[in-house]
Amino acid sequence: MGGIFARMFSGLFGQKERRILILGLDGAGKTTILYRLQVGEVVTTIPTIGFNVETVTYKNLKFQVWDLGGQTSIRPYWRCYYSNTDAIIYVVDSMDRDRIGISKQELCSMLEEEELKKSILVVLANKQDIEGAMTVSEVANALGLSTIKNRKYQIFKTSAIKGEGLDESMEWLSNILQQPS
Amino acid sequence: MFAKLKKKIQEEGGEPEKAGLPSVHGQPSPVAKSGFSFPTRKKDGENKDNDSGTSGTSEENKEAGTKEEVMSMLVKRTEQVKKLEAQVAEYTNLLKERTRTVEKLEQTLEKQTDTSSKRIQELNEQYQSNRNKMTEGFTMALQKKDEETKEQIDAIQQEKTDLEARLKEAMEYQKKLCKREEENEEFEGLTTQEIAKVKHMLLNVQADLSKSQTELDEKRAEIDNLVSTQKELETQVKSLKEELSEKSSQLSKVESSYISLQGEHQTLQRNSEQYRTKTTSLLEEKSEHITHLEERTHILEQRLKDGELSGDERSAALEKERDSLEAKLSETRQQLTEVKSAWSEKIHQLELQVSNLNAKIIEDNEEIASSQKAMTEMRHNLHSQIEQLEKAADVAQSRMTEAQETVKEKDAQMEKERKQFERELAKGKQAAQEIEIELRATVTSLESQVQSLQEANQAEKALTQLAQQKINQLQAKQDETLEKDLETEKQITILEDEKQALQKMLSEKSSECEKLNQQVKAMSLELQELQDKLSGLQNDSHSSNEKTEKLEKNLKSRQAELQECKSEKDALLLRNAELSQQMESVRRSMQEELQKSNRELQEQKEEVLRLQSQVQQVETQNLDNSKVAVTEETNRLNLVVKDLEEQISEKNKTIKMQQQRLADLKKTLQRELRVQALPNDEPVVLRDNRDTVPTNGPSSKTATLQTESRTVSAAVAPVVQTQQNNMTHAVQWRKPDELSEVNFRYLKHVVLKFMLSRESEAVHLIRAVGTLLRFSEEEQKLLKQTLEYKMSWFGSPPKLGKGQLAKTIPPTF
Repeated sequence: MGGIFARMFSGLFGQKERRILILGLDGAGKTTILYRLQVGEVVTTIPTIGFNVETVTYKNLKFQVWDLGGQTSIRPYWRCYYSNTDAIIYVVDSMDRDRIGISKQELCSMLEEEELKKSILVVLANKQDIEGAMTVSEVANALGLSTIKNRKYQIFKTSAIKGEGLDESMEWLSNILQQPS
Repeated sequence: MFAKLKKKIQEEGGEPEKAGLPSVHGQPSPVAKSGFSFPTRKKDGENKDNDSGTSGTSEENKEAGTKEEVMSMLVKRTEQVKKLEAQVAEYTNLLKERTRTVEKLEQTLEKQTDTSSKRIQELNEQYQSNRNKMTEGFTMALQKKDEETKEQIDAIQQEKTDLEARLKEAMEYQKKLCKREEENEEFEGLTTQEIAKVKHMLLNVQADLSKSQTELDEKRAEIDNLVSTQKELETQVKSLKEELSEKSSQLSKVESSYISLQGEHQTLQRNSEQYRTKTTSLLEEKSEHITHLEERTHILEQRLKDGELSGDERSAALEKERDSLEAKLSETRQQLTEVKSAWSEKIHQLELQVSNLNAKIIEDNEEIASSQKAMTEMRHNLHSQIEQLEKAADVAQSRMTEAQETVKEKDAQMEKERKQFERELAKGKQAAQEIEIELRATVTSLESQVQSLQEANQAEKALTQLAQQKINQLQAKQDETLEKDLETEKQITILEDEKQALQKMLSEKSSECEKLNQQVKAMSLELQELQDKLSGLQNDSHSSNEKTEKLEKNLKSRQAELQECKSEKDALLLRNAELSQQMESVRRSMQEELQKSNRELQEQKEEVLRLQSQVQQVETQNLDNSKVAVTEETNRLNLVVKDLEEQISEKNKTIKMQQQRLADLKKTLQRELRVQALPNDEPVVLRDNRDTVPTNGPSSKTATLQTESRTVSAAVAPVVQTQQNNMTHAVQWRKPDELSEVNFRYLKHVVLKFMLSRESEAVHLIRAVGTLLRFSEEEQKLLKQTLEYKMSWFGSPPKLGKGQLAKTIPPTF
């Protein structure tokens, strides 16, 4: 019953929520980014076996952000969440040079999905605060972003711990989402 | 010092002690007190000295040894006394000075008292002198005033006496005047009484006039009422006419609806009859068909029986059949001819009926036309009658208006006359007023004359003769006034005459009024008569309306009859068409049947020929080798069966071989998978096998496995696949390592969140839960539908099965 009233009020006063997925390999910092976006603080996290959903408001836009666990065994279940997704935030660990290839494979297979044909892609080259991390151009090259066609995408260098680059990425995303497609 | 004191005391004769005390007491200064106290002490001391002189003997007796001490004490005391004496001398000096000052003060006091007394005496003297002067002045003034007042009083009294005398004179004149005025008043009262009588008469006449006017008004009002009632009646008549017309229209509608319903009923009855006939015909056809079929079955049974018989018998039976068939054919042909003849007759009859009906229709049309003409004529007649009646009513109304106009004219005449009367009355009043004014003027003139006479009296009392003359003159004037009064009386008599004339006129007018009333009554009677006529006319119109209605009804009934005739005509035409169609269909069916029977005949003929040839062949074969052929055939069949069995056994063997190979391959695959330990491959493989959906990264080995499985023969493939699936499941669930642990945790997490979150959020998790628990498409759909139903405000729940197949716990309410 409470759900009915909540829906009624959201129907009356709230605008439509945008659905965003945060994807990426395990340990890339997806959950940290989610709670950095929602609370604005760095929270201690445990490896996500499952998912986290939070509603983030940015410039009068409501985002329902889904942070899906990135462990190898549960990565195949990502595709269960693809429907009605407005945007994907793909988080890459800039320090993890060994698994950047796997990350690229996952990204490519994800982008081939029919349900994600119209969704916007934001790539976050995370952990830029650590010395010796790959630069944005390096990450973009390693992921082969230049080959992406028929899609609005952008790559940002971020540091979830220091909160750098997240605002720029969200600014870009909200601008793109507000444009009449 | 002491000596001086003693001298003083001697001088004053022992008095100083007594006089000293009060004098000292008069001194208020403390110094003086102290100064006084010392001498008293001192005196005490003296007394003591004296006492000590007396008592010293006792002291000497008691204390002889202390003489020297006493002596010293005495010396001391003497010294003290000397000091005190010195002080006393000082005080005496002071006293003297004081006494001197006191004396001086007394002297000054005496002087002052003397001066004050002198002054008082002087003042008294002055006062007395002043008072005497004042009293003298006052008395003088009073005396003067008294004298003056006395003089004044005397003057006033003189005036008073004069005035009294004058008053008496005036009273006398007044009395005289009063008498004259009374006389005048008597005259005036008489005249006023007469005028009042005239006025009263006039008022009576006016009241009569007003009464007659009110009566007239009432009559007019009655006439108005009558006119209004007439109008109301007319309106009622109109409304009744309208109602009548409405009712007649309603009746006509109802009748028309009734007629239409009757027509429908008849058509329905006809239709039902038609259907009945059709059904009966169909039943007959069916019965015929059944008999036909039975016959055929009989024939066929016979043929079957014949087939079992040997060659000769068969031929004989066939011949029998042929004969019977031929007989049947002839029968059918006869029947056909009969039917044809019957149908031609029927058609002829129907055509005749149609022609009759057409003739009837034409006649009906003519009748209808004639009746319509009669109707129109009747209508015209009625319309003309109504118009005449309306004209008559108009004429009556115009008469009414004329009568009203005459009444109005008479009213106007009456009003004019009344106005004339009123004018005359006003003139009379004016005349009376003028007379009154004249009388008043004479009175005033008389009064003025009286005044002048009084003046004359006052001026010339001595000249009484003149006065008497004047009195005579006045008497003459009085005579004149009397004459005037007589004249006024005459005028009054004239006015009375006029009044009588007016009364006569009034009676005449009232009689006229009565006449007018009578006329009005006659007019009202006429009106009533006219109204009666109108009502009669209305009744006539009603009756005519009723006639018209009747005629209309007749017309409608005629029209309905016409419609019925038309509908009958249409129905007949329809029936005709149907019959013709049936005819055609029957003809076609007959032709078809004929053709069929011809074909059958030909076929049967051919069959007969074939059978005859077969019979011949069989006869020939029977003779040679009937038994050998049978054995050979059985042998051949046995061989075929054996071959087939062998083939089956071979195929079973190959199947077993391939199953074994498959099992081996699977085992190797699993081993390899375990060795590789790539965690993401396992569920992918699983999904590929189940859903056969191409996903990300299907490994090459699964592909090969699939191709191999496809190579297996199509008949065995499903079995193999199911086995494969079962095995993979078993492997997947039996593995107790980390992967399954992670998977289980993931499943638990997702399912918990699915269960605990709201419907709108849970919708997003349907697919995840479905894939994790391997729901089928339908089950996922069901989940989605139930969630959407829970989210929606209205709508019906999705069907979730019943009984053992139910997917929900049924609600307990």
